[in-house]
Amino acid sequence: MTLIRKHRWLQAMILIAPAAIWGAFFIVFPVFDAVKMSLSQMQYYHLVSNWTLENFHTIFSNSLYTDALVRSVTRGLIVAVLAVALSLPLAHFISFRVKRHQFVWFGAVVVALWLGYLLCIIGWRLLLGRDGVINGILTGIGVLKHPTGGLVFNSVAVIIVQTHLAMSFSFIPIFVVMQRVPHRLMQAAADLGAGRWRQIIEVEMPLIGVGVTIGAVFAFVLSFGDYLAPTLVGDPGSLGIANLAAGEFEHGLDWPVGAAIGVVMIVVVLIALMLPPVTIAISRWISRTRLERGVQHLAVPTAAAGDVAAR
Amino acid sequence: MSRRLLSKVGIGAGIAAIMVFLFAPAVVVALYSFNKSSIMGWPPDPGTLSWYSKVFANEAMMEGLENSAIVAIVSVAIAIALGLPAGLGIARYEFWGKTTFQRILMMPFVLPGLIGGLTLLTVILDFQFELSLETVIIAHATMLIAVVVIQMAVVMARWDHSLEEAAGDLGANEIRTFIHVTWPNIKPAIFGAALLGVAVSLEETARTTFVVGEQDTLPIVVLSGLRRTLTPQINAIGTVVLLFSLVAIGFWSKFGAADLARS
Repeated sequence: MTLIRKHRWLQAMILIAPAAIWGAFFIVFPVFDAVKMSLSQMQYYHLVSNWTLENFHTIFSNSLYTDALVRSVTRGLIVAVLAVALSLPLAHFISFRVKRHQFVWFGAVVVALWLGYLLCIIGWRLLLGRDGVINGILTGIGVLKHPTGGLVFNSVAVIIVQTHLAMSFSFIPIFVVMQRVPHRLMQAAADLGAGRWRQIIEVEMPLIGVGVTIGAVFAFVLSFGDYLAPTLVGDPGSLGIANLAAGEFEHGLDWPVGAAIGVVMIVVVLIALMLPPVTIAISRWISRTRLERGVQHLAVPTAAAGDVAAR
Repeated sequence: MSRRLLSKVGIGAGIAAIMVFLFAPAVVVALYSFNKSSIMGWPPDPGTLSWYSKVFANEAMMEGLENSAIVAIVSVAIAIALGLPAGLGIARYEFWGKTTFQRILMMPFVLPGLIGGLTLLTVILDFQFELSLETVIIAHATMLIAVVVIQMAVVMARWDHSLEEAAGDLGANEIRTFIHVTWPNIKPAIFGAALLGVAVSLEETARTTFVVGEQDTLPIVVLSGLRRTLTPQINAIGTVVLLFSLVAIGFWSKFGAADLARS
């Protein structure tokens, strides 16, 4: 006991050891095991570990895989842009226009986004289906003569569902950084004669850049890794790389190829996750150079931008 | 004046459209769970609770719910047992590799569920383990540790830890300090994290499909139903789960998110 009391590092070790051991077994080791499996091959229904790059060669030389990879990345980018484009005005509205009950608005949005994967998909199927709500309303007001089946089971429906799912990951970081934009800064810009759009672009945007990047990256990662929406609201042409990875295991086809796709996906996601630290560095660099140039009307907001970024 | 009014109306309409986009799926799911006809067509015809009684008599669904409850409770317990001390260690001590340790614990939360499920499955296949409820619990607990550690970081950053030092100066050892000073301060946040964890676990689908065995959890039962056809029963159970997680989030925001807002 006295030994433990004397050495703080021993106390720290005791506290973190359980989680560290769990993490070693169930987070780190599985990744290495997936890498090892991706370098193995399936021969006569048996895994043979022969350290070959054959599976990666298969993935990058077969257009089935490369097309799916390109499709997933493209869709991820579209979903990221849409999720941010919807989150920004909503977060701005709640932060700067709503005077009372801001927390109620925020809570309502979080509640709406807390639908979960499957309920969100069910909801959109009921909305977009041939007998669905949107068809019903459109035929009711005479926009459509007959209900159309063209709203669901295509790649647009996948993008809609994924954007809805991704907004829970993009809205919150954007809202959090907007809460930190000082209202008096916007007021000061207005007093100095900046119009509403100029206030948003020159004062607000530099301050929230990091939150927007984090929101966009999370949205991209969600869409990129999602294999449920394409199978439940998409068509065969909307299946992405995640579906191929899941399919290799689900149908017991070729585990090593599935593992190799998983490894490729991990690399893509890790590259995406590098973006926020890079933007923080860039926004710091910009605020420093602007300060050095001594541009008066930009110095105040960008100094604060560096401050927010530093946090 | 009229231009101002016009822009106000425009902004209002835009925000209203975004809110409709956000709320429409939830509203529709709940609305059709009361639908009289089993065909969920237009217009909706609410006015029956029969789907609720049917779903509670549906054996597959109820078994799924039971399995989900077991998974949620056990994995949350594991996540707290591991994440709470780890959070304390991160907040109170400096040690070699701390940033790496934190990043690794966050990985399952940041990476897509597919990656978590897939990598765990390769281990299971490689060592020829049985797929079972235990493997699902491992997958869920691994993800929930991140939730507990994040909550711990937030709550430990908030309160004044000179209180702990004072307890130490007054002769309390680390264990007594934890029981009498630290725990009462972090209890609400941990309770909140536990509820949030249960809500997350109840709806986890992406990694569960990889590691689930014979005993399906509720989302897996719903998913296999969805692949065939939609029935209002799914809406009914979905509405019940949604209401439960809303209550859970309500509690979490009362106990846990208050810290988040303050930080």
